Amino acid sequence: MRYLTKGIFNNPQALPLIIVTIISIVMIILPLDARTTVSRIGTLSFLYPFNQLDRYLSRLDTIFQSNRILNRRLDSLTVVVSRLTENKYENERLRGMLDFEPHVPLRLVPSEVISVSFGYPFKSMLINAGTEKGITSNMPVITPNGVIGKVIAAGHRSSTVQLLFDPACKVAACVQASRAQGIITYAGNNYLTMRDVPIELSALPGDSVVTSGLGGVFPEGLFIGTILKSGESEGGLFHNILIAPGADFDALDEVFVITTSFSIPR
Amino acid sequence: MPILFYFVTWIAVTFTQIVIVPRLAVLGIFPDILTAVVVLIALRHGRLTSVWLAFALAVSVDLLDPQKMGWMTLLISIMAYCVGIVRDTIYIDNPWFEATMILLATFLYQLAYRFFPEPQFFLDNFPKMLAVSFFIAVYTVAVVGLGVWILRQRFNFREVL
Repeated sequence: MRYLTKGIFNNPQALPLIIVTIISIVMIILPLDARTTVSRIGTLSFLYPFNQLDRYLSRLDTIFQSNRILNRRLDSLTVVVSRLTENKYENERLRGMLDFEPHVPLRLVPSEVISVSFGYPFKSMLINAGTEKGITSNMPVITPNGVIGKVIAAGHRSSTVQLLFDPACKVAACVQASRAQGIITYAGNNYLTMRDVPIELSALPGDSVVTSGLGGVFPEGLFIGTILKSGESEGGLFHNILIAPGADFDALDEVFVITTSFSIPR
Repeated sequence: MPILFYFVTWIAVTFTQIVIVPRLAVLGIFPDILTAVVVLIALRHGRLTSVWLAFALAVSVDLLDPQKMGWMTLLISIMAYCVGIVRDTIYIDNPWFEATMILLATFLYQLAYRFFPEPQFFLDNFPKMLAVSFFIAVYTVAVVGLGVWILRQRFNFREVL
């Protein structure tokens, strides 16, 4: 042992190994808290440029991927838009031939959500746009994913919105494919239900439900949600329809108020 | 010159290990560039240089994982010293000898790095650990072989690596 120790300490080439071994063992036997602190200091000091570069490259990679996906989607949407434009002109032409009133383009006022209240008696939210931006009661409020409610009280710079999840909120709606009409109300557990849809009309799971425009508040064709389940009601005369709302009521951040006035029913 | 050489190597290998290696993953297996570079440096420059460089490189990467902090530094430094001894005794200036040394050293280091911090877990999953260590070693030889070949062909790096 003495020979080995003497051999190691007399060998100048072994000295770095001894120093490095001692430092490593100190690092190994440090308590986890101390190791975490050392790691944090090291990561935030001399490893910082490498980590930043790694993060930057990851972000760049994500941007490239999303760019590729968006380009692909843009290609397909260009075809859809051109087809829809064609349909729009055809629709306008046919409406003109039938002396129908032309559709009024919707004017949207963007607004941020200040607070959301799921308490009693109303399930409502406060938005930061009011009468100064032309908002009045009974104006529909939507997100890009679907209808979320209507304005029930408008102040100067804020308004209260009654959500679809409020039991008192009722929306005239129809199944987009079959045009079967009914009334949307809250069903509980973040779902909606559509009442008064005659059993002989088609309402299948997966069908989209849109506003029918008959209630006088919401314009026609705003997306509300998708049918999850459809069955017979107790009397057997109507459908019992459960709808998953398109808008995410747990992540309401920015909404749009439709300020266009439109004459309904036609 | 040695300080500059240490510094440039440290920057290059730390950059590779943190930024590039995670992007070379194949079925969750990463090449162990750090070990390979330490082996090549030990074969070219001997024990003294390789132990210090192994220490600097391993500490940088060790800092990223507080759970196993210190193990990489210890094992890589010992490995660098052992490869240095091989260089002083049986070194043959041949790419195949270097490739074999990288394969062996990476395999043994990977096994040791999995065994020492968690011996029970290692023994419970011994076949898997063996397979993973072997594939990492093979993958490392492939990646480093290609890299060194390109460097030597294009930039005449034979003196360094």
